Amino acid sequence: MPAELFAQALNGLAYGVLLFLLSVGLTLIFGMLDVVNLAHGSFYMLGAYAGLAVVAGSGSFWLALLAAPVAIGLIGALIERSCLRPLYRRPPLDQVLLTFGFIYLFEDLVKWLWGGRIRSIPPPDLFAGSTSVLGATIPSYRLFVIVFGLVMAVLLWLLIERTRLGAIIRAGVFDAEMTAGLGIDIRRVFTGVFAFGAALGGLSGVIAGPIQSAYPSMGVTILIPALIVVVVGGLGSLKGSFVGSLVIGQAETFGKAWLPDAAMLIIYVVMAAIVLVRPQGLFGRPLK
Amino acid sequence: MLSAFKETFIPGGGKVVGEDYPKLGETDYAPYLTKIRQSGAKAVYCFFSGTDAVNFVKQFDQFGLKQSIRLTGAGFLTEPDVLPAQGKSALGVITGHFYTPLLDNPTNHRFVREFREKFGGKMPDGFACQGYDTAEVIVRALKAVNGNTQDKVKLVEVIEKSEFESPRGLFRFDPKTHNVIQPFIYIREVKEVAGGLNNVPIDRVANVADPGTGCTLPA
Repeated sequence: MPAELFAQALNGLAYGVLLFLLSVGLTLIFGMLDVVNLAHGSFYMLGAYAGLAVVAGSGSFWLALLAAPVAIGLIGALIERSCLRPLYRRPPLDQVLLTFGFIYLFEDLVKWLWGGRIRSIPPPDLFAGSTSVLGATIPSYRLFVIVFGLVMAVLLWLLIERTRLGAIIRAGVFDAEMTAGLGIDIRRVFTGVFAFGAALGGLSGVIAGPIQSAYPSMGVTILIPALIVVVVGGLGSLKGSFVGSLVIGQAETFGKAWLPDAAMLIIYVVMAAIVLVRPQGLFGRPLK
Repeated sequence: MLSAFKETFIPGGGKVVGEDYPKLGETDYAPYLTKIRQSGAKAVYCFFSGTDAVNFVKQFDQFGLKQSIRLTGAGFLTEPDVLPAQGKSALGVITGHFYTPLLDNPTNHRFVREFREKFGGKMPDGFACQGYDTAEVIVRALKAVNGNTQDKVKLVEVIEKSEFESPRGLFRFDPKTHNVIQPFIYIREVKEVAGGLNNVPIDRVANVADPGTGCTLPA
């Protein structure tokens, strides 16, 4: 019995860290820029396709892991600078509509360039088989995803909590106007955070590629769980994003394994339960 | 779909050790695959199509289940639209379908050749065969009534009697249910053949008629 539990827990962990990488960007963007970036799922999708292109061109998954997030980050910076910045003073709905429009734009762009069919991304040969961890069998690639995700979590934590740049970001999330008043060029920080969030989303997409392949609507599919993670964890909180994604990852996995009839509902139930008890999410700032 | 499978599997002596219904558009089958491994099943029968088929077959392979468990399913699991994305993960998968481009009859040879010429080398699948046959039925029926579609009763009679050589074999309708009587349902295995992966027929069942039970429309 324990081996069965542990195997499913590992599955949940792999899914959880994928959600983490995606939702970190979303929560920082929401926390600092007050923008609900519905196009965040598109960054995930674009990352997977960018990864596909790099692997097809160079044969190297590792190169894709480096290059794709950079490309998506640049796209993010471009969008923020040219389309979002003019809208900061406007009501939130305008920004939502803009990012919503980008969902369709990117999905059609991808269909135009790669066609509508699902495209496969092979995992690196190093991780092509499966391994055994404490009696539970798991594809080697998923084990890599777990390790990679946890390492990234640590690196991000160090960045946010222990560097000056991280302090600026945290200040900006807490109160953007005051941070600007201290002499920080808050507009450049905004662009940087948006690009950084997009790059992380793209990275998540590349990592997910070998597991779920690349298809045009994959961004929309992952967006809901990512939004739920942000709500559950608390807006703008890295810790919240981490804990939230692990919780949702386990809930979704065990929901599918043990309560198949309720599987589609589980994550919404979890979200509702947490929000009822703590409306600001697990680690969010208390609402005024 | 699966209850139809159980209808003949269980009386035939088969034992079902587990059943699961992942949602449409599921991307991560890990929890289900872990359950499959832990159930001790010797084979899996499934229904997936399109994107779901690609992800399930690939993840089934990634979880190392192919070594000990036979993967089988309805034909759409390994049709030419998903085989390229599935790659080697699809090798050895067994499916049932009324068509495979490798069928050895003159009508099919011509069909496959002309299809590939017209569509840039693309391999025809069951859907292509169906589309082609549907057009044949319509054209032949219209010819038989001399273009007069006003007399609906006559039109239905004429369609009912359709009979011609299709890429899948002799095409006929069942006069009782108006379902197609499949000349053969082929059991196919995915193998590497000249030109890449394809569904190789390894067995077949002749003259399969759908009993049409459960249809509530008036006859």
